[in-house]
Amino acid sequence: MSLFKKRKAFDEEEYVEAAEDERDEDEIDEQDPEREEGESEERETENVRKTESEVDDEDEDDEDEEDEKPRRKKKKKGFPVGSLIFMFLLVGVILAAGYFGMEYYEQLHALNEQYDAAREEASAELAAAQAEYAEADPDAPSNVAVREELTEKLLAEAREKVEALESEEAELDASISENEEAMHEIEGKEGFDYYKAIYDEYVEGREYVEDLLSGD
Amino acid sequence: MRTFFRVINSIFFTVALIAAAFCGYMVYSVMHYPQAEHDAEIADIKSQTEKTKTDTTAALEEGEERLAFLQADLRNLGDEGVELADRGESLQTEVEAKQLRLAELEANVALGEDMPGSVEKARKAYADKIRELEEKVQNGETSVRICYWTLDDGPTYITKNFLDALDEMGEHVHVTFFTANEANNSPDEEEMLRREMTSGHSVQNHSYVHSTLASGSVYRSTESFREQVQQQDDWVYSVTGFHPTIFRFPGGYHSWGKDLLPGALDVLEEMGYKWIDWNCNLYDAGAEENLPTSSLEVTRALTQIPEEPIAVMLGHDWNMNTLVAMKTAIPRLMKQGYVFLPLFPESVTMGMNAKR
Ligand SMILES: [Zn+2]
Repeated sequence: MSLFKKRKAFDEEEYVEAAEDERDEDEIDEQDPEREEGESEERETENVRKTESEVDDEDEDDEDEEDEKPRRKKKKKGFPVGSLIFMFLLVGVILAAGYFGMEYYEQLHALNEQYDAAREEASAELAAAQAEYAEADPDAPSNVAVREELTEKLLAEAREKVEALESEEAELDASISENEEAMHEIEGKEGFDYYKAIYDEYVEGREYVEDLLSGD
Repeated sequence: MRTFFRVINSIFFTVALIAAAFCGYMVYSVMHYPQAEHDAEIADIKSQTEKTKTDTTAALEEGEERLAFLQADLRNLGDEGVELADRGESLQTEVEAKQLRLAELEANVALGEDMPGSVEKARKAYADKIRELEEKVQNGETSVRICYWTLDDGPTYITKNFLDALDEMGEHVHVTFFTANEANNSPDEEEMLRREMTSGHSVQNHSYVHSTLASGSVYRSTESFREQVQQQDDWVYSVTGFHPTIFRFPGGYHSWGKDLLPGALDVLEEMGYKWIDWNCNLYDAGAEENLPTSSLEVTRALTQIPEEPIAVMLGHDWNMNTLVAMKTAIPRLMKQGYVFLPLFPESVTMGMNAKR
């Protein structure tokens, strides 16, 4: 294949697309002249191509006269609707994914917060319970101190009681020896045994009657 | 244009991928949220809390127990506690024994300092209790029945046998002796009077000569009556150390004293005496040929006494049959709920006029 033909095959494809783009841009250009600047380079390239094509066209004018018409038609429907749809689709996907992503992110966040709060609450309760245990522990220094204090108090009471008993015993001893001396004289008294026997009978008798009284 | 879309779409595509990835990751994260793990973790903390609480309760209980253990016994307080407990216990025992010893000594000393006074105090306390019991019996507030078994005209040569028999019947069987010096005479009459006293019986006045006949009668005049009562009083006091306080008319007030000497009760009142007849009678005095057998006396005792919640039985301690009857009747009556007590002037029976 000659170079020309190769180019021609290439142009047939490229040109349609380029023309499509050009017309599209022209339309936009009319409305938005500012964009022209950025695209001038591209347009220049296209112009070069166009010029080349025109030259080709002139050479083949006779024979390609009839092919010109479908090629123009092709140029007219060159706008990338698919891309636009695809773009909207992508935007939709982004928005949807973003929306749902955020929704779920919030859910996740809420769950995390909820569990953090629950964990914190449970931990606080545990800490409180542990503090209570530390206080209740019988081996805790404060409790040991309480027992030691009690022991000391009880021992002090017992010491006092023993002392009281000792002094009571001493008093009793003194009274007993005093009374024993008195008894010594009394026992020598005439008739003591006689009166004592009657006295004892009456005391026993009274006790007997008291039992009878409380018996019913 | 084409390039523009291509670039935009590439960017959007990348963003969409990221967004999808983000969304996917989030959905995945929510769907596969480690709820169970978190729940388990929290449950674990909670169970730890519960366990700690249980431990706390147990610890508190143990703490209480340890305190209670210390308080329960001095011996739980270590060596010093044991030592103090031993010392305290032995001291307590000694002190209690010494208190009893001292109380006894003090009572004896008090008795020794005023022997008749102490005895009289004890007698009064006894008599008051008997009075309380009598009132309960009269009001039907007790199943106890009281019998005052009285023996007149002693001491005699067989009074000793009566006292022996009474001793055998038990330490709480007591009677009342209405004594008359000259009614009967025996060599041991003074000893018997004292033994009647020391055995817890009541020794009372039945006049000195016990004569109801003719010139020597107790009831000849108020003067002779007063003399008879006083003479016996003096004799009993000289022998026992105690004055009698109850008088029994020889023959009984209802049958003799009332008619023969109307002023007798005034004389007794002046002298601070009470008097008493009886409501049960063994009929064991009289002409020797008419004296009842002991079994007849027993029958009389067992039929008459149960009719009286508070019985006053008349008997005589010179009658041998009465001794025999008494030995049979008293134990039987005791089984029926009768108690045999001494008569004192505090008794509700004072002034009791005989029915029989
Ligand atoms: Zn008589």
